[in-house]
Amino acid sequence: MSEQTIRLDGTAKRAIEFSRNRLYVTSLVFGVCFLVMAGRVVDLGLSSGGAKNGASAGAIEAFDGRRANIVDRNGIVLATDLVAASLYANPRKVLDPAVAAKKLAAIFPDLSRGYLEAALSDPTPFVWIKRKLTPGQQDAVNRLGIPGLGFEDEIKRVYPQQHLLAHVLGFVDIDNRGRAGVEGRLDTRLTDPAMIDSPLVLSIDSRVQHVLRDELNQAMKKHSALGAAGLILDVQSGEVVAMTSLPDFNANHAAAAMKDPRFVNRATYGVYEMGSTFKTFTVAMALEEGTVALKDGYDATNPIRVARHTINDDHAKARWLSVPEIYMYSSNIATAKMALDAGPELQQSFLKRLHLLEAPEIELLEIGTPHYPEKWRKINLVTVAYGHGIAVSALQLASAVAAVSNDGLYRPATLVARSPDQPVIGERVISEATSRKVQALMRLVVERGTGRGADAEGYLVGGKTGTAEKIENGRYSKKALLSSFVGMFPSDNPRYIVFAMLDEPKGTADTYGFASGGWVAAPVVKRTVLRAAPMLGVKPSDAKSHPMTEELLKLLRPEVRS
Amino acid sequence: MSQKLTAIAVFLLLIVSFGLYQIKYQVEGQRERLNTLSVEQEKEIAAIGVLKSEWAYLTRPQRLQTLTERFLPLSKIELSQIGDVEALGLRRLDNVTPPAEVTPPLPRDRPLQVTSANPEAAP
Repeated sequence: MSEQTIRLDGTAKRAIEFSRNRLYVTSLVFGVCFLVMAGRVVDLGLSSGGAKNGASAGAIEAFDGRRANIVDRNGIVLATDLVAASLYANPRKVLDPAVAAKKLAAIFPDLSRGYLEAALSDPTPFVWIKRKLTPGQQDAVNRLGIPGLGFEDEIKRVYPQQHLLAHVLGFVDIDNRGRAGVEGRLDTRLTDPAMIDSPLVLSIDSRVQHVLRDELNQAMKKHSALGAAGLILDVQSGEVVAMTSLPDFNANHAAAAMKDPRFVNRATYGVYEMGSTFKTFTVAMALEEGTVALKDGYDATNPIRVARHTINDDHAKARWLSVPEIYMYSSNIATAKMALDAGPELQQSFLKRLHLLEAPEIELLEIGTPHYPEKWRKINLVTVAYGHGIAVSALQLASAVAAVSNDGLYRPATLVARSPDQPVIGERVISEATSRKVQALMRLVVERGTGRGADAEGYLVGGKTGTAEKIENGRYSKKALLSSFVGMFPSDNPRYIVFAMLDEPKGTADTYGFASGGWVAAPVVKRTVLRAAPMLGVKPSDAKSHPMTEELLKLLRPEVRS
Repeated sequence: MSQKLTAIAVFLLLIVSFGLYQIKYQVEGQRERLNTLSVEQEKEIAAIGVLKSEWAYLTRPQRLQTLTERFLPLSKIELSQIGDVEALGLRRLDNVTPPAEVTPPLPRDRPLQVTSANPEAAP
């Protein structure tokens, strides 16, 4: 047989070509598909794996209860988070509950053996023994080597300054929720995840705070007072540079203390009849409204009677007194007459302008509401003029005095540091001219009047004393006094208000048995100013008097000019 | 021809898979390292927090005051010791003696009143 090349022709050839083309197309399609899959495989291999490595997010982030740090205006840490171990037990694994309870009770004196034994015998698989141990306690428990016990890390809020700012900072509960003070009031800001890493900067200066607390504490001990309060306000911005209330407590053990009524915040929560410091407002009101001029005055020769009450002077001069003398010698009679000339509507609206009739806004939970007369009758008008029949907090008083003695602008007090570019808002309450007169009058009190104990050399301190009888059993008691001094310095250009108040001080030998504001509170202000002024950046000056003092001296009777 | 193609394709497959898994393991290694570093960083931040609180505790004003009173013979600052930097005058850059009428600030026994210039001023 001869070989025959097979020639395809026509239909057969077309058929084979057709199927060859199909083969090509199919293999092309498969090739593309495989390329896509290869690309996808590469893509998958390079992208982040399915498993999220979130468990290793870090020692602290994994916990709830983180809070932002709180620092003072100089960056000193006031409140911070630390990791603390909490002790739990799996009672099913505890071999001998009685022995374990005995050993644990030795480490934790506040837990009774009975309670511990019961907890360790409980059939549950998990029970807390004690939360948030100190490292020392943790070490001691570890060394016991009791099986069935374990530690879990939690966040503990720690206050390194201990007593210094206890009332201001407040405290948090076991679940790190703010319950008092700044911690409570600004809880949302402190737990906001976006702001947790930026500390909350307070306006407080801890060095100045310490000076105020130290001086108040010494005075409180010296005069055996029930308590004391102090405030230092920056007059130009409303920032609270120092706020103290005594007695105070270690902020790390705050919860029990704050339920004790002795530890009430006397600076912001307690409202008191402040007494003669209120005369500042009466005089400012009368001068501003023009019902009296500096050269005018009133007759304080005899006590006056208003609605069955007799009004006397404490240091009775028993003569006609000019306005500077009225303020300097703190005459109740003359101040009452001054108020009567002004009238109740004027007084009420003036006090309202000074925010004395409403609870102030500040970044704390403990804010007291003032008490004032429901009906503003003549007797109320008169008593309110010299600070009785109306009860306000120390913060309100200090803010109001700041308003009438700076340039006449009221600036609300704040505990949060003001950033330099923040505009300072102020409401005008009196004119600048009137505030200058008030400054000069306050300086006169310290130069020659009842406030001589506050005269800190070089700082031109001005102020007003207040000695209010407290009400006991429905009557005013001569023995229970609320002695205070509200000072501002330097009086020719006020920058700070320094307020000190002692609750029921007793006279001592060197105060000749007197416990009034001039004797017990004014010296606190003097010593505080001398120690703290350099820290506050106030330069001492040679000036002895306010620019207007000469003018006022002319209005004093000759016997008082030295 | 198609055998060659197959051979090339298989060869390519091996190369690509090898390369791919290399990359994958490298990336995973980096991620592990990142996690370790993050954990360490958190621990360091926590440690810094502890140190800062200890510092705040050890330098709290009451403690410093107590220690100062016990161990340091410091007196309270007198007002006469506070002055102005401007009063010191500028430092001369050349070695010329200053003119006689420039009096350097002297210690004062009254706030801000120079004793040598006016002895009568001290009351």
